[in-house]
Amino acid sequence: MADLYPHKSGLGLMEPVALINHNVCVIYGSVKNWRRVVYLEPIPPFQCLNVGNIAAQTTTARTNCPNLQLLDNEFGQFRWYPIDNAQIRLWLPQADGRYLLRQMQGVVDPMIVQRDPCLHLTEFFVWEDYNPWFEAMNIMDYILAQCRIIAQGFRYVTTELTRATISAIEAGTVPCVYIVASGSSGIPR
Amino acid sequence: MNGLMRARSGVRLQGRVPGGGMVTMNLAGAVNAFTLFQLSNFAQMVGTATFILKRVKGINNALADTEIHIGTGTGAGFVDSIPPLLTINGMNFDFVELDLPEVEWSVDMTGYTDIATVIIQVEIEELK
Repeated sequence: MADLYPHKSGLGLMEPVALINHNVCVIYGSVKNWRRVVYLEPIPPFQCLNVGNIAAQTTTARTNCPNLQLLDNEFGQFRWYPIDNAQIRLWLPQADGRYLLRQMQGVVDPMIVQRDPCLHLTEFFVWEDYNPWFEAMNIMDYILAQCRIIAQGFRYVTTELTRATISAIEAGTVPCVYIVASGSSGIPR
Repeated sequence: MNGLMRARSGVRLQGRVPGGGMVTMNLAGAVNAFTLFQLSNFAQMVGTATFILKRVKGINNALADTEIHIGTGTGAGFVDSIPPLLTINGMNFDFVELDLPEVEWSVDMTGYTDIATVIIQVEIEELK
């Protein structure tokens, strides 16, 4: 278990963040969801969203991506890339930007498959139906007819942990993988 | 996987997308230079884009052999970025990556023909 952690790639392009019977703590905002994985399955690459056509030199509104929602008690581990020539920002939830720096928010464009072939650094997690939103920027002087996003990853079904197990995890005697499923605007000074 | 990576690699695009990317150069001379590809320069984009010409495909309908010029600007301000390409009357032409110098554009690409008409389509690789 110690060798599984977020954003990891081994010999394969993507590894699950936890296996069956592993403990996880899915952090959504300030809420910690202490869970045990009881089932996992891969989600092969699929087109999770088409933002649609974008006028030249235009940024779209944040677009809901319900295709990445999961059922209750489940979380998802996703990596993604666009296949059209746009720069795309990820928001999770709608108000919290991901890949956030002090001066800017990182973008993902089709070149990510060249620069980060395993897509490690695009990885994000979805808790239940708190799905991400995508904001696409057509940087070109030409209309973009489609703006499609491909996602892949793993789906995990979980059950609640007992209070005793949670206490043991917090005491450091039982292992647990911590997973962030939302953005953060930081902590003020 | 890492061995496949190239530091300079971009997104392949056709000129004047959408609409087939073709430009009908039906007027001759630098004063009538046509825009073949417009640089991506949206003020909000992250980074700065440039592009490299990867392919020039077209047909000479000029009823004579003619040169096509590819560069920047128009009229007296036109500057060739690569040597002129000679095209043969009535024939298709297709200059691909190995035929073309690795020239990088940081402004719009323009081009003209010495004798009209030539239909041209460029394919570029955008770096950013």
